[in-house]
Amino acid sequence: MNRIYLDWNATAPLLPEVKAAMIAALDDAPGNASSIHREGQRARSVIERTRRAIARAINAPPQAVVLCGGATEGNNQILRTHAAFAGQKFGKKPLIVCSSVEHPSVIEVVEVLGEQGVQVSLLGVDRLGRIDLEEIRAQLEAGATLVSVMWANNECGNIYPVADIASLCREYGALFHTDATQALGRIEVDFDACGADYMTLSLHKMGGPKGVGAIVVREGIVLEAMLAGGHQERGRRPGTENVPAVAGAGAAALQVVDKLGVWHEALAERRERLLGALTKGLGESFKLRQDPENHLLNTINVAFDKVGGEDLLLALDLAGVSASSGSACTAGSLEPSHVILAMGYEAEDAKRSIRLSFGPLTPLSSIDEAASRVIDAVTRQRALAL
Amino acid sequence: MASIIEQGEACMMPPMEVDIEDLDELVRGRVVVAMSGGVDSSVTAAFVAQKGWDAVGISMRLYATPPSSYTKSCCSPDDLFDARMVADTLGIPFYVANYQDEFKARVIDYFVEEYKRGRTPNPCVACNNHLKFDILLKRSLALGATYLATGHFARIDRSGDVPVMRTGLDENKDQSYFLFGIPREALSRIVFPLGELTKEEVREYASGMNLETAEKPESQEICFVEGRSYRDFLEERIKQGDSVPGKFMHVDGQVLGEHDGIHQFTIGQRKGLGLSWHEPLYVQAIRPEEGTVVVGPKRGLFARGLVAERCNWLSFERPPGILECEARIRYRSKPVKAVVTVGEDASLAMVEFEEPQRAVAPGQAVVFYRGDEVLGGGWIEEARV
Repeated sequence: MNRIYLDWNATAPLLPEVKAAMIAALDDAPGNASSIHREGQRARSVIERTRRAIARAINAPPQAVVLCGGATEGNNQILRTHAAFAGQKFGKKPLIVCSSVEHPSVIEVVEVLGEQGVQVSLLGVDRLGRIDLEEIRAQLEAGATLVSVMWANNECGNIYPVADIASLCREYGALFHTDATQALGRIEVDFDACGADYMTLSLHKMGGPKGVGAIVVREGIVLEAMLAGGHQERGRRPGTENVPAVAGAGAAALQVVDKLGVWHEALAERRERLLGALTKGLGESFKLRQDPENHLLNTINVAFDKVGGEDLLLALDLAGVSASSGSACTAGSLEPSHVILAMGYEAEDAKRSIRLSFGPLTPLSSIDEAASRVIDAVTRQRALAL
Repeated sequence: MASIIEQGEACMMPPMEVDIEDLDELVRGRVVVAMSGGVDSSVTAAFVAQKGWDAVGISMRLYATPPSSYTKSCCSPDDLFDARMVADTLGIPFYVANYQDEFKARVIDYFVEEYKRGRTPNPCVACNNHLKFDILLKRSLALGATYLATGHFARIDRSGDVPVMRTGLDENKDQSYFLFGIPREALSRIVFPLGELTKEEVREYASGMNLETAEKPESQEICFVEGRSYRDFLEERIKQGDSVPGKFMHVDGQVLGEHDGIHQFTIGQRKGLGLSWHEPLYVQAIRPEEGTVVVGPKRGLFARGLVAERCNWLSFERPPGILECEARIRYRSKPVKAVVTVGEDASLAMVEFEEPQRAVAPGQAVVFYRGDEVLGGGWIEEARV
């Protein structure tokens, strides 16, 4: 039985170009990028090429790109250093605002800061997961110094109006951060045009390696390091660079530059095909949980009537389809998604959500086969309804 | 450790579509193994996998353990990792099912409530009845399994027309006492692959197969109290104002003192009463209505019989007339000859022992046997003196 991988929002299969670049770096660039000898020079050039590739992929100046260990690290750095230094910079107490559907690497940091006495506030969402700009304005009126709203949501796939939020923040003199991890490679991510002050990225959701990412910082903004002990990334992220991973990230970014348009079309085709097949097989007995207007084409958050999410996920895995639901804890058991809970669903109802996320390279035949396996699993679960 | 990644199948992520050996496509033949991360259930999984059945491991996550606690109690993440590694070694799929809410409601809350009412609960039976052989069994069937396998030391005899439960062959490990509440219809869906083995043999198999859990120590305590005594666990949960304080009363009617709450006492208890008397005193009865703990000499502890409620019968829908059998009133006590008469709906049973029995505790289970056959059982409501 062939396996069909529909969990790209957790992590995506490595692109062949990425794998090749990583292997090449393992072989050809073994030096420490800070060394002045030839081996070091090779490594350094890998890193600088990646910086430029990422800059091109998101339309930002290369100097704005700070390579780091991924979006979780980047999000922590931005939020925590803002909490620590905003007083000096703004001459007023920080007030950090984020949406209640942010990734845990934002929302949980904000909560921790709140427990430590920093003023924080969470923005609610409506039943479709949408944010009300007026609520942001109210927080800005109340003195918000940093607003953090993701570009696209990992669980429901909603795309948020980051350019509008950025200009609203600018109007009030607040900083705006957006985590664009899920947007990269799926929709156009233009750092310059969107007006954000900070952006964070990981590249492994679109075919890059894990454990590498970037913080993108608008010119003129000082980003303090969280760690001391090295000059790398101009002191903003010390530590010897993981050159093969950085090489892979660069290759992934170049693919975005080359293929975004093609990928977007491919996603549209796959979405239509998957939803069409599900509707044909199951009629109206499932509901999508996302903003019908603004969402990533690759993400389908769906609840099937009378079927538990966890039961369905296990059944699907045994049937060779990899999907997900909520977030797994360390031990691997499932909790209801905080995103779906924030949309106002009760815990039991939230647990019915499963997420199917695919990529532009998922074969169309796999989409068809996945739909048929989902329909079978749902039908059998309903027949065996507990 | 041989290697970090066992076999190719362990890493079936990218490239996107890998042909793995076809698991048994058909619904029949799939067996879910309840894996706790202990040696017994690890060997169970190994047996099932070796039989060539389509084995699927599931661990139940029953409560949360703080990461600072390194105690390997059942259900800690470490146990789940152990189970996961065993499943990986065996090359079988493995999942964690989150039953924390159900476990709290059906086992932990029940445990605390029973003590509050002056009774002696049996959380392992409750867990088997409500978690393992109810929701986990149903979920297994929903996953297309034909059987649920667990590492209990008990047997299911399928040689007759209907399956019959028998005790585990290793008398020291027999766990049938905890299994009386399995619905009779479910017996045909359950397998106990360890029922004919001794614990030593299980460990030998585990080391022979290089299972990660081969050397793991036995868990003895009530799993969810985690290293603490169950008394401390209760004290944390039964706050003042919620407990039922009252008097110590001698069986002759004399009041001997006062106590802070009946939850601190169990029938037959001698230690920790804090009473001075010319002969050793034992808790003989607890009257929750007025908070009275009745104490007396050892001879008064013996009961001629008991009343059991919520009986479950494994060998028949209801006993055919008066049942002559052996009754076990606590885990590890020897079954004793008894005569059982059931009420109209067979859920109420009057039990008369051939010889009076010591410390019959309401809240515990009474389980009925005929030789090695497990006939059924019920919950002790009261002792009959």
